[in-house]
Amino acid sequence: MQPRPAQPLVAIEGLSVTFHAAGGPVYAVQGLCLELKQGRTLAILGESGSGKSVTLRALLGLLPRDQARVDGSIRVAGHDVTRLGGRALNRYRGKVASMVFQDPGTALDPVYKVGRQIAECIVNHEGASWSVALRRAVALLDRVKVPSAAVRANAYPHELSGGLRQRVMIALALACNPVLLLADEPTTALDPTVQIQIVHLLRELQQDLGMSVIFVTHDIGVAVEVADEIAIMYAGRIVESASTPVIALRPAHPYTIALLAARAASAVRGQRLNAIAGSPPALTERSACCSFAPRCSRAAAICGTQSPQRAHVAEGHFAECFFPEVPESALRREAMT
Amino acid sequence: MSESLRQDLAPILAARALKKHFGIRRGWLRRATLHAVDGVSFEVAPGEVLGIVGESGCGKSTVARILVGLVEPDEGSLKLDDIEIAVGNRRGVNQVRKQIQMVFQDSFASLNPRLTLGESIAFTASARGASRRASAERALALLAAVGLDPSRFAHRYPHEASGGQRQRVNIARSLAGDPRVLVLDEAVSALDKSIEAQILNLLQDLKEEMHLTYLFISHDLHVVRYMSDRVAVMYLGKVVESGNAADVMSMPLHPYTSALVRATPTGDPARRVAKPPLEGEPPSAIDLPSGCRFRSRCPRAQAMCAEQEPALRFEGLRQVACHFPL
Repeated sequence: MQPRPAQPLVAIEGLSVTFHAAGGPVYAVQGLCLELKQGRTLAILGESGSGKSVTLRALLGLLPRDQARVDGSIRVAGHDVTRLGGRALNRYRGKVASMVFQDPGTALDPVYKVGRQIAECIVNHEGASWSVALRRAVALLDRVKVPSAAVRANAYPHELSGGLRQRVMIALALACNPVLLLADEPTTALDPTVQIQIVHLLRELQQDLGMSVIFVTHDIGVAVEVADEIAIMYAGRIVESASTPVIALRPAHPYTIALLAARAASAVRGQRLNAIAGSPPALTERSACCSFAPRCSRAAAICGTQSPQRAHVAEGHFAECFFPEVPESALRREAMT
Repeated sequence: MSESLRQDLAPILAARALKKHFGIRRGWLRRATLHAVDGVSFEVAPGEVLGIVGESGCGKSTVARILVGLVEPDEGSLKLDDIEIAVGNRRGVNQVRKQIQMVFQDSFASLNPRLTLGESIAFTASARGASRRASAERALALLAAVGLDPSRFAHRYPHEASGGQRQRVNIARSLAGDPRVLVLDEAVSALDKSIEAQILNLLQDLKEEMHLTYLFISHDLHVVRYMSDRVAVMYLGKVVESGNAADVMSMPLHPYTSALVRATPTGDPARRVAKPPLEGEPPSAIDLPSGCRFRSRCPRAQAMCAEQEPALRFEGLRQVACHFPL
């Protein structure tokens, strides 16, 4: 199903995910809103426990229903993902959306040759014959630049290096031509010279195939390399979203500003880093105020008593903050209207 | 520390031609040799931070393990203040070796889950001969020194602390025996960025307060550049380039260093990486290329590189192992 251009490919509204753990509920995602147009790459940037991977799993309907309560709506290319089940969910996975995981070593089946694993996906989803599917598997491996693809298709996952295994994962995710590719820290386990190869491969595939990509990472450098837009997650919420240059150069949320300022990359040797004091909150309580307030240098009384609403900072730039850093031009425009 | 000052000081730690090969099985009756560390030399001056960078399998962690005595090198020498500690009389050596301590990457795996955080630190202090009461007091003082409130943390177990807090405890424990050298093996790599900055600040404060010398091992170029006075770049068991950290990172001489710098995202949207600087992945340390180990991926490689292995030689104050440096 091809969405009309005006309609976003991905629209998440008021998504909340609550896990029922032994020690009580964990509010992993709290009222998340997100939109992504077709053919765009979004990076979700956040620290561990911010809810970025849980959001990605919710997008693929991967959260176990007996352990996780999912509220809100997730629409991807006309599918209401939270209502999908059984065969409809199986059809959705692979053909509409598919996922590249962080650790291809555990995501691939160790007892099957990689070509067969890709072909199996094609046989199951499209009813193709095995010989056709195997040929397409080799073509896919070639597409993701696995050298001598026909030979490597007959390799088991353990016979391949980390970089090649990640390419196999990507080929597997592309097997049924999805419109949305979800990537969960796909380069985190890789060495720097290999990481940049995979980042470039994903960027190239996204452009050639016209897919949308949601790329989850904790590394702002990688996010800037790969994404058109960046959404910053903190304690289960998207606290800021904007185009990549705006997030990198003119962030508005105090958390984003602090995160950029804390980077060793931008620091001079001998100078102290502007570390953010404290640590992210435990998500065992639903937040009734700004979750970042205890660590925030701008926090005022209101931040500890009310939840900030999504504030419009500039065109396509949102921040959930009572006191965002507003560029002067935006202030001026506001004064005029 | 300035270049001239450093040259006046005798090195606190000097490694000469360290070599460690591991024999491994490759199927039934087939044996092979993994060249983990293949002739690595360096010197560290007192109070200096020497950074070691390289990708997985380059041997940087094996070097770290040799330094603290977890791995015995096949060849080479390691001297702490002119006392040979790599080989020889273990008991005598261990007394000296306590002056070198290590902080590991995995903050959880490196703490005993059945000891409280305070007990873990006190255990190390008592292993150095302190009385029970003195060890306990030392543990509380060290918790405070690494920024953890002793009254809140001494009685917690590792699983009751966050990753950043546990890494602070690991640092405190490594200091319990009053070492002079700390080997930090990817000590901040598992931490979130906002916590990483806290730990890097802590390490710099402790270095000044306790007059420590660091070997800072990481795959993260930005962090190594920020922390180190000098840096050594490793590839497949060898040091390919070394020198002043800022110089090496801003004007690399070795094609591999240059590729590593260019492959590292800057975070600046105007300076995105235009093209991956290297194809493929490092070959395994079992089947090494002939001649220069980097030649199979090197854009500058020529026929000579396959025949002759380049030695590490001086270029001004820096060292590089390349026939055709940049």
